[in-house]
Amino acid sequence: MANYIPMFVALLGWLALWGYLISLDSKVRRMKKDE
Amino acid sequence: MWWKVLILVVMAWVCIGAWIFPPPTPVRENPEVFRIIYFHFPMAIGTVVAFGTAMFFSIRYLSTRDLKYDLREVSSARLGIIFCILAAISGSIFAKNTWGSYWNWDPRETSIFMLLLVYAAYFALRSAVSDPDQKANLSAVYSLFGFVATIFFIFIMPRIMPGLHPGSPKPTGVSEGSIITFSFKTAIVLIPSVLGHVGLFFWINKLAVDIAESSKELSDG
Repeated sequence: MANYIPMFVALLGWLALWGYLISLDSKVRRMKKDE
Repeated sequence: MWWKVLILVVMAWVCIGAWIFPPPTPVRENPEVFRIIYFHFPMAIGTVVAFGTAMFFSIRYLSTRDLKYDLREVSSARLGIIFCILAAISGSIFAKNTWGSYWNWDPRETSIFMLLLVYAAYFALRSAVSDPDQKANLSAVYSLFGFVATIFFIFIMPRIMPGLHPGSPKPTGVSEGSIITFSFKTAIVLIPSVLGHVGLFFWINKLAVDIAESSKELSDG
């Protein structure tokens, strides 16, 4: 079980990074549209 | 927009493929750790692409003297450093499980360390100059030489000096069996991973440049 913990942490971190990237992308697109 | 969706799909495929396909090596004490190669190698390629892009924009800056290219250059170099650090960290984990130590001063490990120093000096140079034009001029010329150093450290030095990594002329005993078998199953994960990491670099770089440009416009009024 202990072997899976780093894997799940990595997966969560990976998903969080993607979520951040996608939200940042949509924010920048909205910003450019407003300009 | 479509290319961002494509990167997302490719990287999702890489994550799934890296888990479900066999690790790219025949027999090792701990073959599972070899799955990290699906991420470690593409990160190193991403480093080269990032520093190459920085050099491309430094040439554009030197030929046009337009500061927007300086912004693109520094953003690429910054991401190059991040990719380089990630490649070093993933490589260290790999090295611990394969060669017994996190850091072995193998020629490729030494070269990545030197590369980090070269680009750390690039940012030190930028922070030491306050005039924007002078800063852009100096860092553009430095970036040109920095990329020449990248080519030497990544593609030449590890191939002429004996070391642990695959590709060195006289691999020492400890690297026996660490040769990666490049089978079809490895290729269908590793090649998309390289393309996905390069795509990810261009996406993040574009975002960083867009944000920096709009905050510059705001501060300029």
